[in-house]
Amino acid sequence: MAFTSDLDQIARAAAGDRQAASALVNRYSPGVLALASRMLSDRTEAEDVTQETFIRAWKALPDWEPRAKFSTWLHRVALNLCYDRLRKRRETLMDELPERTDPALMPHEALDQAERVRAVEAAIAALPERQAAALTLCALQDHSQAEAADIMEISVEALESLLARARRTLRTVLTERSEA
Amino acid sequence: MTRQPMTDARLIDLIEAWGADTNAFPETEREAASRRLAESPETFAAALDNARSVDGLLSGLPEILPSAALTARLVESAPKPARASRNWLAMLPRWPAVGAFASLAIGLVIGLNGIQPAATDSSEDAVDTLVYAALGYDSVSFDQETIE
Repeated sequence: MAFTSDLDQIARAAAGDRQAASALVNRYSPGVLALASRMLSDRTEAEDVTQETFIRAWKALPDWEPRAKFSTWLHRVALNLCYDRLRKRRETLMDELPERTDPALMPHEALDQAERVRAVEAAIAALPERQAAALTLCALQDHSQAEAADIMEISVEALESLLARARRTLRTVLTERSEA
Repeated sequence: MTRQPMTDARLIDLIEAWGADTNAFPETEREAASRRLAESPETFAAALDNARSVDGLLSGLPEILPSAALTARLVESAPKPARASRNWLAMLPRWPAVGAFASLAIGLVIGLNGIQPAATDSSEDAVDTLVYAALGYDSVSFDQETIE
């Protein structure tokens, strides 16, 4: 249903229909922004990635062929832009310690809700990027297993392996943090 | 992807990857996994507890929503109606056509009113000179005097 609706709105948005473009933005920008925010742990950069993703989408619309779901394509573009930014960060900070917070090293204090949220977000951001992507797409967004695997261009089996490692790391890190 | 039968090891793999809720398991294995869990809950209790702790942490994360300003920027960057750009493009091919027509008209006016009569007079003079020279006269004026 959404797929058919996408095709119609894509055609109209490509022709300059503002309402159709607005519908696509409202439907997909939250997911794209959330993915970029979890991956980059930086709101400003996540907004930049979201904007770049949609600019690429608008350029692609006139020649759009429905080989993949628009949603899958959009998230894949966003994810690749995140990978690019993370790679550049690594290159820039080659000789420096990453500024990501290790939740296990935080001082002794009770985990209230806000702190827990910050700790979990930091732990996700500290995961290897493909594990963070798998966890975000499957556990934090409502993508099906097949769609998440398609976005990441991997098999469902590989996705499952990434997810298991991500959840294991997350649990270890957060358990250490709460016991510290 | 059909896996048969559901082993304990496989079920623990599923719990570790997809969490404690069997609805999140791959569809092809969901039923067999649920059945095995119901048969022997104590076998998987520890794995389920661990999975639930992670599920709880993840579900507590706030939703991330775009600001109104970001939404406006995204919509603003969308393609504009083709009509706006067509006006500019449509104007471009007309200028060469107008220029060509103007050149043609100016050429015709100059050609009909100026150049053609002048060329006729001078060519007549040249022809007359040649004819009189061939007849042995020195000039046109001599010819006119003889006639008179």
